[in-house]
Order: sequence, then C-alpha cells, then structure tokens
Amino acid sequence: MNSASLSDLLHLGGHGLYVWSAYAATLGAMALEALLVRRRLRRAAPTGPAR
Amino acid sequence: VSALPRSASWLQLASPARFAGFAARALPWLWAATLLLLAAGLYVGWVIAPTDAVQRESYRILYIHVPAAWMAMLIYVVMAFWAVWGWMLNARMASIYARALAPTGALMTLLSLVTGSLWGLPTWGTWWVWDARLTTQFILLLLFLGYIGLTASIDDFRRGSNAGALLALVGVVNVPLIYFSVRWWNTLHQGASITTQGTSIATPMLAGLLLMTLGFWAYVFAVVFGRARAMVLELAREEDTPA
Repeated sequence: MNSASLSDLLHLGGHGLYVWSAYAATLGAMALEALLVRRRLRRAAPTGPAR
Repeated sequence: VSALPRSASWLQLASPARFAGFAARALPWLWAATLLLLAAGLYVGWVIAPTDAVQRESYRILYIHVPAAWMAMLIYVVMAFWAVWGWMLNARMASIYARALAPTGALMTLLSLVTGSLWGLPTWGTWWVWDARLTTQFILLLLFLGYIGLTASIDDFRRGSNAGALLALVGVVNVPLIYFSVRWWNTLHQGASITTQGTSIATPMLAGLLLMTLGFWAYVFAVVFGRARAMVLELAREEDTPA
C-alpha cells in the first residue's frame, strides 16, 4: 500500500466506505464482546482473580 | 483449592473448579497473543501485501471476512461436540463449554455475513442473494441463536443443556453444506482459494490471512474461556444460595 496521504487511505480508491465499515464492525464488535465478558467476570468474581 | 499445582495441566479443564483457576491464569496470555497476532496480521495484510489486481483495495475485507467465516463453522462443530458430550456423559464442564461458545459463534457468523455484504456490494453489485453459500451461512446464524434461546429459556441447567445439545446435533448437517455449497451448487460466492491441493493466493496475502486467523483463534479462546469461567462462578454461587 502506497497511500500518499490520509485522504487516500480513507478513500481506498472508492472502496473506503465498504472496507472501513467492515473493519469497524468487526473490531468494534469484538472489543464490545470482550468488555461484556470482562464485566460479567468482574460480577461473578468481585474479589478479583479467585482460585 | 489454593493447594492446586501452579503448572496448568490440561486435565484441569474437565473440572469446573479447577478450570476456573486455570482460566484466571491463562486469560492474560490469551489476550496478549490475540493482540500480537492481530497486529501482525494487519501489518502483513495492509503494509506488506500489495493491492489486488482485479478487486483493488476492496479485497482487504478478506482478512476479517475469511477468519470470521472459518471460526463460525469451527465453533459450531466444537459447540455441538461439547454439547453432546455433556448430554451423554452428564458432564457439567462440557455443557458449560458449549454454552460459552454459542454467543461467540453467533457473533462470528453475523460478522461473516456483514463483512460479506460490504464486500459483495462493490464486487458483485449486490449485498445479498439467496445463493447456497449465503443461505446456509444464514441458517448457521439461526442455529446459534436457536441454541442460545433454547438453553436460556430452561431454568434447570442440565435440562436446558440437553435440549440445546439435541438442537446443536441436528444442526451439524448444515456445516458440510456451508463448506461444500460453493462446489455443489452454482453460487455467486466464489469457490475455496485454499484447499488440500494448494492455494491460489499470493504469499503475503496468505501470510496475512493466516496470521489474522490465528489472531481470531486466540480471541475465541480468550473470550470463551472468560465466559466459561464466569459461568462456573455463577453456577457455584446459585447452588450456594438456593432460592
């Protein structure tokens, strides 16, 4: 990839909307699931890392 | 319980109490592996791998679409295996694994559909067709959601797990249909680029894809082990304080 500028990177030759939406949805959903699991773990083990 | 040996034996994964301790120690390493592998995969896939001659930049959706679709199918098979194992042997930890896998399997299936639509729009000119590949993958999403809804709707853990296992087992037939759909039917979706006979993908693209797949794999382990650990602790607490 040889993007001369940030706008080229965002535009991606006309495919930017599709590509960045796909990445945002995927990485966003994974981060959200990770946070939800962490919250559930905190509630299940409020005293920290139980053995 | 604190007398457990520090070394994590795989045998520990069969007992809920021991699993909870093992998972607490393993989780930081799994998350570290996830971040490292995903960062490496994105670097190889975006910086080292060139633009595709035909699809230009839109092909880079491959690096998330294909791992999500592979994970969706793999998780379903593993979920059905543990669900049936727990049903047959009345093994609680197996049923917990099955239940912990389902939400992540549903998410991976949904992401494969969403990223596929966003890839199809500029490539095929349509975001959705009811061809064999897209339809069977949509059925996979319904199977995951059905399993989650069914197990959640039955209060008794064992009865709910067993009902879910039956559904999961019946749904296994859908997985080979997904995989071979592009060969058995005339689909808008392309055929497999990576088979046992070899691959038709350029080396840096393949390297990026494999790193991303390993990253997704580590992510699935991390998030499912975390959820399974929470479920073990929740179940133990429910039994301490009967309603």
